[in-house]
Amino acid sequence: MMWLLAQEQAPTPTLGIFSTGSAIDFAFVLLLGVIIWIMVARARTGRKIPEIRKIAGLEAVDEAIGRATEMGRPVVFIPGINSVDNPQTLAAFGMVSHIARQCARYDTRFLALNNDPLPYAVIEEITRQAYLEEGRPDAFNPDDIRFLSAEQFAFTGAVIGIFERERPAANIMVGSFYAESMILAETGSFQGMIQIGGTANTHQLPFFVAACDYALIGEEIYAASAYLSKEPVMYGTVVGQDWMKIIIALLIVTGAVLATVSPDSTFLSDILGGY
Amino acid sequence: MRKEGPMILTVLSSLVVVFSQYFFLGQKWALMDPLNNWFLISMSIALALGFVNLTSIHVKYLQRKREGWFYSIILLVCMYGYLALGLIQTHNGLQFDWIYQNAYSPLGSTIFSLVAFFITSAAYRAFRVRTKEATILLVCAVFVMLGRAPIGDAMWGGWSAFVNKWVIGTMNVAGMRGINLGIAVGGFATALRIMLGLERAHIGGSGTQ
Amino acid sequence: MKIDRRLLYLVAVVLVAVTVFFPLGLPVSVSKLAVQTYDAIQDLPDNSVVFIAPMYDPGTAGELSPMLKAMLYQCMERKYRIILGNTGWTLGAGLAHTIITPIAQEFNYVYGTDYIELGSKPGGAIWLQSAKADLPGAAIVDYNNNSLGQYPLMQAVPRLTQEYVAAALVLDCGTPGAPEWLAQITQGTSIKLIIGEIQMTVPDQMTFVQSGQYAGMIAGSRGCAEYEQLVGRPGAGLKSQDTMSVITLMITLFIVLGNIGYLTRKK
Repeated sequence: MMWLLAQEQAPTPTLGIFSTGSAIDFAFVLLLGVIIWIMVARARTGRKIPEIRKIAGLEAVDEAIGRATEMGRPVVFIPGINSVDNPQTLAAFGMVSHIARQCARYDTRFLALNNDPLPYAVIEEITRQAYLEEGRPDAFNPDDIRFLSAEQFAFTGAVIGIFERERPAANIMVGSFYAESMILAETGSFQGMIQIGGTANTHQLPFFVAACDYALIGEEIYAASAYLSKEPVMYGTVVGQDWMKIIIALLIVTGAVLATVSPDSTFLSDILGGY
Repeated sequence: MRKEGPMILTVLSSLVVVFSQYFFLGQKWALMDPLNNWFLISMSIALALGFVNLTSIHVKYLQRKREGWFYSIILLVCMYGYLALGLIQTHNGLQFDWIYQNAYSPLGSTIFSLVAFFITSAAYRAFRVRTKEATILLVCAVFVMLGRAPIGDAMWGGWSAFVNKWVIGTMNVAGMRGINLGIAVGGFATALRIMLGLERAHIGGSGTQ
Repeated sequence: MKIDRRLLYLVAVVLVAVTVFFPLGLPVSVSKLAVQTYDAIQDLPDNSVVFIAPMYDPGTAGELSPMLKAMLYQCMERKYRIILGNTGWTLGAGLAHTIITPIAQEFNYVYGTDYIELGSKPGGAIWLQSAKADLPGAAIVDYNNNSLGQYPLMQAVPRLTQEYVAAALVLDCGTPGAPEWLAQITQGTSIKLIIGEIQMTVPDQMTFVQSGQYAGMIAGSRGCAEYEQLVGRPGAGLKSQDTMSVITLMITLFIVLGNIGYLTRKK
């Protein structure tokens, strides 16, 4: 009962300006921002930026579109089932632009199937713009960008039905997926489509790896926009994030060594958790 | 201004979110509250967009008497009928609740149950010992599967304890931590790209700046 | 050899049906994680308020509803006060309502004083932020559309903070889910976060259990079976384990058959 009757403690700012316990978090945010900005500045001034390693799933995007073009069948894109507040959906938007351009260029039908109305609205605009920039505004069919259902398994049923009726040759699924991933990937496999599946939801990765021809694992989807555009500025952001990972890895190693050498010491955890 | 406007709005909103999350004054002034409310309202408006899209497509199917047009009628009747019922009765209404409990809910469970069958066919079709790595993965997967079911303990008493402690509790956690750290940094970098205006795909740009 | 996949499905259906009607009765050993989870709930102070969040939908109800039932039994036996609600999972609120109603009657729990159902609120992590500052203001009405101000339990819990809530029990199958609760509500506080997960997300969430950010986890249907035994209320979780065993053996057999065929063709 004590805590029921206890006075609420007024929150106290850390270092005078930060929310309680947020100073170190903000420091990391700032650090990542600075690193990315440095890399982007290097790219803009023409200095050499490391290349992104070959990612088979992203290399295969053009192959998949080419296959669909040869067969005269559509390309299907599914941006996951979460809304625009999910970074994976934002990563999917980066891919839509490239795929829509390619489809416009080769006059291949492009179907985008959406579970959420917000991504639907964004993808429709991205696709329209892509067709416009390729000089094919007449070829853009807004009916091919569809909102199917906000309910997960109603959406799944609708997609399976579209697979059966439209018989796409290529299925690209990049974004936040859950239980429907297995159903979609396996149905696509039965239909003989070339499939590229990518998600940062690690619990669905085994299904994509098993049922798709190519799988994008975790953060590879976040590199998609940079990889497909091949622009040095975008490469710079990916390099920046890799530098951040190196810094985090060094912190982990330091912590592990400290914990081994001096198990009672709380030096690092006090710094990282105390501000 | 067509692209610059949304970009400016994105950057300003991002700055408000960062300020509210990390700075004491941001929390004290509760700057996030109106943003949160606007987000919820825009989600609801977007749902109306979805309604319009579905209606437009299926009415076109009906007009052209496209194959399967009868199902378009069923979809439109169900969609607007259930909407009307919900507006009249609210979610506590007898008929509204009955349809939810006895039709909608079992339909969702039915489609989800397909996962089990698809896993079965995927297991037969796709789990092949093509390479050394695939073999190791396969053996590990079977070992963990049997360890998580009581049959594993029936065959060897310590199977589930071994799997829980060493495979799921140690090896898996190590790998998962690495992957999750990378995903977290990657997700944040993506958000940062949008905040800094480097990524413009979401506003119909060519994808980069 | 190529086997028609419909035959594989038929075998699966037959095996499931047989084990439902003729259970094998295999014993289910209880893991340390299940004991840790049970103790985490059991050791809360007397008269605690626990927030139970059924963040799931009918698709995963088969795995998570038995967990919810067992959690409710344990909490009501301990006479904790219960706030039941979720954010972002509209269908989960209805499922939870059908589960809690008979159990509350069994324990003579009074609505509004001993427990309350908030229903489902839109917004996910955003709603949790609002609830942390003002729970009645964020929730507005209960599951039956009644104003919350009249209920003693809601008067006693003005905010979703450690001063008022001892534990959050989150049944999670997607987004929004337990990570949102961790980030918005429990991280850095004394509120214990105990979760129930579907089997496919258990490896992902295990990192948080190991780091202590989750006080406990009911790990899939196997975890539910173990937990039900600890609570002393065997239910659907325990009953499903025989089917689980048989299907696991079946999938193992199919993998072996598939590889035999593959290796034979390769030669």
